Amino acid sequence: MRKLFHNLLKGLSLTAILFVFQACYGTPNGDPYYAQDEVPENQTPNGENNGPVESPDASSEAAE
Amino acid sequence: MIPPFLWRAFRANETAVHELNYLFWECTTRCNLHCRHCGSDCFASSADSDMPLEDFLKAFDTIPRESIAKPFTVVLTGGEPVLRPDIEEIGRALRSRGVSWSIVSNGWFYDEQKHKALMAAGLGALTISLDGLEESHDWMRGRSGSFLRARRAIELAAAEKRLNFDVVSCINRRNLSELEQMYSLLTSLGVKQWRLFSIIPIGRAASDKEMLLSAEEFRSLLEFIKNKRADKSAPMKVTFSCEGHLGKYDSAVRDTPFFCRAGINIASVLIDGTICACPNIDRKIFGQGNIYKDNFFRVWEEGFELFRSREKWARKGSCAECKLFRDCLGGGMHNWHGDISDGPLVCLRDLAL
Repeated sequence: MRKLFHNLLKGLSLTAILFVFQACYGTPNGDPYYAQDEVPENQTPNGENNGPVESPDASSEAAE
Repeated sequence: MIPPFLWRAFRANETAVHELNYLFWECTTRCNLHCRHCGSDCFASSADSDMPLEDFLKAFDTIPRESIAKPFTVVLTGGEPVLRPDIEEIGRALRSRGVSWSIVSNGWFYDEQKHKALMAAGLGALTISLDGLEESHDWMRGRSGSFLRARRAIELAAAEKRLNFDVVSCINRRNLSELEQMYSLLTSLGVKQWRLFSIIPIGRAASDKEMLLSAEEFRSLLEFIKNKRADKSAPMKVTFSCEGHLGKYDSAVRDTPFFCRAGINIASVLIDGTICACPNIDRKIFGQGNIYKDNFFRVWEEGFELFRSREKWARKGSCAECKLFRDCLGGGMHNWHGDISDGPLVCLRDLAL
């Protein structure tokens, strides 16, 4: 019953704001720009290829 | 405005359902900065190794496919998550499981090349910290040049239409007077969402008096937010964080009444495998098992009792006789540190009165 009530409220656009939240030190929740099951190709929106970028090193950067 | 009794009923229902929507992964505790208010006490070389991706995925994969809610976000935090050499691989692994992923970053390493690589790996949301104008931010972050790096990251992120992006600022005695200038700066950079925090005395901030606002200063912060939100045509939405109930200010500085969702919609996997909620919560007291010993989803379903039964135990200290207790339940769970029989560390309602 509780789950049904939750799903009903969540499904209504009028009450959608009740379910929008953000943890204290977290990011906004979800992203409206991808379907959740979309797996991005190795592409940026303008079509450039992008492989992994070499990772920075905290210790060497800290010693700058 | 939502009547309190209706909000309490909604909150009780959400607590009973406890749909997991938001999973922090403390994927590293290495950090290139040394922030005065850090809740994690991070260092350039951490005592803890980064958690291997496969260990996290093994825990994540205990969540049945049909129990992955929409929306569902895995938030990479730290430390500085951009230091992970496999961050793009992490992103792709999460996208392949049908969930959004996001990063909380200090922006130091977030240059154009990194931005493109992360977007290509499906980054969905991003939060960058900016703690004042240049002098104040660099003082707070413990490193010269961090303001300029954060500003560059903000410019890149704000221009990216596929990113759910916001800026967070921790307000202290030094940067309180810079709020208007920060507002102008962020709107000029195209930022649409700005969240403001006061600082709770935990982590390094516990012994730093310059971090903590007086009641008068705290009210001036809330007045600033209230006034900005009153302007419906403003280019940027300003919000106060979820630290506790704010009495008469509560509905003026947030979209919905206070509701700490830690352990109700929010979980975390911490650097040593501890299962908890937001990473700034006292993990020694509120930790709920460990992914190296326990089934993560079973813990989520059957554990987290303290998070979901606050009416039963949190009427302590300043909360004992408080008339707002039923709406506040003791504030954010990160406000309970050490000996919880003393009550929460800070009462925001008292500060806001």
